[in-house]
Amino acid sequence: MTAKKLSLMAVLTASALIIFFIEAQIPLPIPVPGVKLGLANAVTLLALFWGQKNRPFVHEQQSSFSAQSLTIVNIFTILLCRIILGAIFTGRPIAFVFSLAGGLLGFTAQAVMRRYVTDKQIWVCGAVGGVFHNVGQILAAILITGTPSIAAYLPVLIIAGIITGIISGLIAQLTLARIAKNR
Amino acid sequence: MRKIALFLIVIILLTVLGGCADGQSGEQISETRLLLDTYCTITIHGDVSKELINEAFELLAEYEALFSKTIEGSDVWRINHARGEPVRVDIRTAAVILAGLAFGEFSDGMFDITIGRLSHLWNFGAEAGVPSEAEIEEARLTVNFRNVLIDGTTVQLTDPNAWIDLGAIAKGYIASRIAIFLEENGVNGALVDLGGDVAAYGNRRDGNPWRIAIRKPFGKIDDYLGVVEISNTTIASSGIYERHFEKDGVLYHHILDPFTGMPAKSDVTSATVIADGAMTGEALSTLFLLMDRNSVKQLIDRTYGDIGVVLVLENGEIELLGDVRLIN
Amino acid sequence: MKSNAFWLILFSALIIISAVTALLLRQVPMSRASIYLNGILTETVNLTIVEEHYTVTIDTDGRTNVIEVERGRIRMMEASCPDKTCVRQGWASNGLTPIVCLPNRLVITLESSNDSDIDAAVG
Repeated sequence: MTAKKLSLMAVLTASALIIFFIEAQIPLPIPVPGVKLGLANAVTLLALFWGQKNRPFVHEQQSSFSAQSLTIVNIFTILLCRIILGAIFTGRPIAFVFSLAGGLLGFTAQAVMRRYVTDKQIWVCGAVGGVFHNVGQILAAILITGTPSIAAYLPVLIIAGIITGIISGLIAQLTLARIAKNR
Repeated sequence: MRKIALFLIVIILLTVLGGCADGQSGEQISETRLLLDTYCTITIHGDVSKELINEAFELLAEYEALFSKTIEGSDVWRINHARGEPVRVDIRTAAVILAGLAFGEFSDGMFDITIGRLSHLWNFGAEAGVPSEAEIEEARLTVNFRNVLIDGTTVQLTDPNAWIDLGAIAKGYIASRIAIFLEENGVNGALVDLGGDVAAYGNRRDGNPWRIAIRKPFGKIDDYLGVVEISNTTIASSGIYERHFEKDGVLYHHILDPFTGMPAKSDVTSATVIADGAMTGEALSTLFLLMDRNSVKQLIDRTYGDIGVVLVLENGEIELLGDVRLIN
Repeated sequence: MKSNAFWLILFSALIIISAVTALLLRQVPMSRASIYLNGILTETVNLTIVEEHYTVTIDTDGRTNVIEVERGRIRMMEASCPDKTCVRQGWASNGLTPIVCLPNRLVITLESSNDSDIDAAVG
């Protein structure tokens, strides 16, 4: 682990936390449990595509710029830290379980997806991540409350997942493009 | 990139619009509003718009504006405050008053729509207790349905102190009229429940008759004696437990005997009547609480048309008379 | 690698299917509500025959929820959870999406009418 890598990870973790906190202050008008902007996911996506070259199914130019990419473990660590610290500092330990479940599933989906999309399609990755994140949260809710009828929220949360995923995906995509331009 | 943004906007718009979409037709829809001082629930199904329920409730409000004795300017209010002068009323008010008078005749005065002063005395004057004998006597003297003169749509109370109170038949009439309105507007089935006065048209959406539960007197909200199945008829119920208070160990309830001015003494605690006539069920259910069980039987024999009656007696016994089946 | 168009179409289809499903779910008329605490059924309410509105208070281990029942609908009136999403959901009268208070493990599910249901109550 180089110092450069460590500081990159630190910056990403901090950014994700800050975005998470700010987002937590904005109440969404939609009173559906589990709907939120999920902007912090943009950081996860940024990390996933940072200097990413190994994409066997992608034929186009692989990375926008040369940089040492982060390993999956690195990126997962960033995510985990953000979730844990976020839960501690927003004072909602219950949210932790749901964040974890959603984060895990969303992260896995995104990690798999990135092998199939280019740097211009990070929004697709985001959408998939958003859907799986919400599905993960519903599964956790069903398990914890023991009432399967919560599944009735799947349609709404799938739509929300796609939309918010595209938004955070676009943010990551544009940020990455801008960084590449300035290099 | 622009395409993606456009796509997002379109999707969000569609979803929002979709959320405002009207209900599907054919589904059974139900709406409840607090009107006539009680819960009024209208349930319909068929190839009709949801807007129809709105119209039905507007019709309900129209009737309330005619029959209410408390709304200033209503037909009944105007009659009661006319000091004996003749008053022009809506033809529907006239119809209900005529029916009320007919029930008066039929019951030899036991059912009396001029009971207004007496019921007012017991409901407001008796907030904490029983009205004095003098007050009761004074009010009781105004009760005589024969003092109501009606000619076409002109109504006159020859006793200027008397008050008309259509409370014992109005809801039955309104429920039936709303059911007819819904039928005329193309519903396949409708159930109009005005605080326990129910009119049914057709069947439930699944094809079975509407299931109406009969509550246990003095029981909890979910306690009922059984269920009756109805279609194309009305059902109404009266009970001494509906509005009552206790003083010094004596139970005073709201079914007043026009001859004594006091709550009726009968061995019947609750009467549920199923009848085709719009107001028959409601009027009879009140009437049956004013007489003992044997008189009830005699009255049923004299009633035109098939009716079904469920009586709950003082001793807890349940008696079924006429055309009725109580399930589970 | 799939083109952008492919993904756009895929996501649109998914959204439309979900939207239609959600709308269909919303239309189901419901006559009964069941209250689950920690996955265990605590109470059922027959909403069609409610006579006057009332409230149910559920209090366990310091987690409190107050549920309000009216004829034909039910809602979470108060809750001790921090985000109060359940309270903001407002009145539920149609549809199968439950009212959920995750921190307090309380779920109010709605059930549609079936054959043995009551349509109205008199008396």
